[in-house]
Amino acid sequence: MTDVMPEIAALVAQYVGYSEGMNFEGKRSLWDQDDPQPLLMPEEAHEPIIGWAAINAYWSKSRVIMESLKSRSANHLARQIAPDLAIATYDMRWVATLAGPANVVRKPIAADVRVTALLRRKPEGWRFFHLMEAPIDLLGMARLAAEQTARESAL
Amino acid sequence: MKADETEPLEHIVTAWASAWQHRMSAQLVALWDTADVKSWFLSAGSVEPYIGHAVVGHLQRRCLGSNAIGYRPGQLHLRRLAPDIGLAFFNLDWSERLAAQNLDGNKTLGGRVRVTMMMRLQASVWRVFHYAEAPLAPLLELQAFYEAIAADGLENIPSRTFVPATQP
Repeated sequence: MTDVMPEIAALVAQYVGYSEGMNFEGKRSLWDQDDPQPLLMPEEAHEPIIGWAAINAYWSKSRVIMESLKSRSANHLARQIAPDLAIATYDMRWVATLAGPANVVRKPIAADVRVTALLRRKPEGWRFFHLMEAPIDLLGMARLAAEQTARESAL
Repeated sequence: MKADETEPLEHIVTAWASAWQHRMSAQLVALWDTADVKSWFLSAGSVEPYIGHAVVGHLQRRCLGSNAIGYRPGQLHLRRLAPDIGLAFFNLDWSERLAAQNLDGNKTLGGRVRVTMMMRLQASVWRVFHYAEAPLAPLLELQAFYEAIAADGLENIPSRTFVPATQP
């Protein structure tokens, strides 16, 4: 198997970069359009989003819910697991401002997720067909928050 | 997708769940591709993933460190991606009671996560080589808990039993 890491890391950076301006057409172009059952599992969704109609509806709704969105990725790993299949993992930080009334001050919120992505090699390059965002759980998040408070208070 | 193509994948998920339910680390390790030095295991509560040989130690510690584990997969989404590569995605309702004493009085904790599990077929045996758990965003979990308290009603404040300590 060849080293797919550079190509897939670049693709992931491009994909994550499309968050800015909520360029979901750009994101969609990096998915395997021929896959009949693509699966997207965003951290805020209660159920997996399966199939193109559902994914398109989710992205349309995201434009309504959020006023702005930016994302960055790091710690990319990728490996080829079959001639036309690869698995990628990376960390992603998103920063979003939720939409709301203009007279209400809203601060951006952000979090880190660990992503597992599956990709298929197509003539045009590697393309996503399965992507799951994994935040740390509530207990873990509480621990991270307490650790940050301890660092900041420096007792 | 023909049912017989995904049947072996469903068997692996069932065996994996049974091994967790019975805290049988040897069975979990037998289902894991221990020869894959890049295998990947991400728990919902861990900051860092376990990779390669570290996975085996983690599986053993988790089984030893618990008095009871509940592991119930549901809504399986199975795909045979290649003759020797399988994908399982499922909702997982879990519970765990830790063996070590802690401030919670060893109450059982639980939750729901979403799992991506990858398997490969080698020498007629399917084994797991990638496993990742994804909880709902913590902000939403907390909001759901607040909503559950609201649904419980104003009158249902939990009763408290005050037992004075007899020893200092």
